[in-house]
Amino acid sequence: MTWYAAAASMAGTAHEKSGLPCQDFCASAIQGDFFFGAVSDGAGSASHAHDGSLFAVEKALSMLQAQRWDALPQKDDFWHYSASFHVGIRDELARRAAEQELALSDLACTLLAFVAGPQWLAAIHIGDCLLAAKPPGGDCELLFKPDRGEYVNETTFVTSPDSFQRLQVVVWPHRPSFVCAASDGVERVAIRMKDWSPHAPFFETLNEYMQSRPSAERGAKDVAEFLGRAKLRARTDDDTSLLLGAQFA
Amino acid sequence: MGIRDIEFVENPEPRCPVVLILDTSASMGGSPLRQLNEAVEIFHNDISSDAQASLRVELAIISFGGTVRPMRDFIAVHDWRPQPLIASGDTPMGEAIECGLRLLEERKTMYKQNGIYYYRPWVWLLTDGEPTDGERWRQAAQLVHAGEDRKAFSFFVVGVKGANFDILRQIAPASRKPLSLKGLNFKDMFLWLSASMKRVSTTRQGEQLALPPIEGWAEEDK
Repeated sequence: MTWYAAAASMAGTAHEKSGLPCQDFCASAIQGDFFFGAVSDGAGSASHAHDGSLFAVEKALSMLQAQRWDALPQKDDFWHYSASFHVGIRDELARRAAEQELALSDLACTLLAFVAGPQWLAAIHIGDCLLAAKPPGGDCELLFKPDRGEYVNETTFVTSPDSFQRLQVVVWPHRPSFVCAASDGVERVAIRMKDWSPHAPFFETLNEYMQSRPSAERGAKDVAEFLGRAKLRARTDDDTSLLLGAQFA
Repeated sequence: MGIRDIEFVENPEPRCPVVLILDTSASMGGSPLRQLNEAVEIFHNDISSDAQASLRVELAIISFGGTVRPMRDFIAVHDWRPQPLIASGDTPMGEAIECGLRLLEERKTMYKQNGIYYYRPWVWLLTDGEPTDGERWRQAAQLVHAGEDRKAFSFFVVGVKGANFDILRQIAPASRKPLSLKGLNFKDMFLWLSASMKRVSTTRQGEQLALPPIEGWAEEDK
């Protein structure tokens, strides 16, 4: 198995206007047959959300990579794993906050993290990032619904007191030939929100792009160029992150 | 070769509903109402100058003077043409508040049925008098407090000189005291409302809303 990955984050127009840094962060890693990815969206209200999203993604990737993955995990086992994963992320953010003499909530961010193997994908989700995966010959499926309150600007953060209660996991027992993770800034152009269905042209085009097997550098450049397009930025004023992966036999 | 051009999905803008409950009783006649009408026009123009806000901010106006006259339904500021308000009659404030909150609930149901995302609504009560529909305002006040407690909306009360602040204090939510308008400065009040709605309609996840200062047009009731 060979994995190829492409990822980038970009500050939204609303942040550029107010001079805020990009509060999204995403990253991935390839290790043998496995592809690991994480996306985090820092809370607009948190003073150091851009640090929070970076710390959360780095810690998530290091924990996922340190774990031994082999056959398809049982949903119960993966659920148990998600509890220790959650503690690990919270502890890391608490440690970083203490180091910088900040409150934990100053690092508030959402988090989506996944491990994709040759024949399955498993993911942990707190907040409202999105994750889609495509089985060979099939259509892209959305694996989570966003965790939203009544209002569009409400979600759960890793640092929220009830974040473990709101945590979702999924174990997807198919070969992920293409994976797409993104922050909520992307959902307005990628998902039909009325019934939360994936907009096929969006995911198909990105899958087609990944078939060109871009190098990590070229992938980062092309995804950043895509996120920077005027047409996309006219449709969302939020920060955007996009993380793509494709595996080849 | 980069990523090909993509035809994005069309989704409705998230909505930011605002209900204006405006006193048009006889005592508002003459100069106050003329200035209020001008201010509503300025409000319309100011939000319209922001393309995104004019699509997101949706308005329902309920005027009460003699009778309660609700606008038929919410309308995006983009599509709204303000009609001049006319002063007459007494002050059925309790009924007007109930009417506004009912319209808002119906609007939320419509959003939910159509998968439209929305921000926390604002309700804005403006009066220069006191309720003349008996004790009905007490019932309305309970709806206001219950709705504010479950974050169903944010309720603002503004009294013009001459308003009965004893009653307005009982209508306003405990966390947001009534505001006392300076003179007839409706214009700055509506410019403030416009600036605030532009902020509300772009707040991101978890963002604390910082509202502009009110000193220019009102003071907090003591």
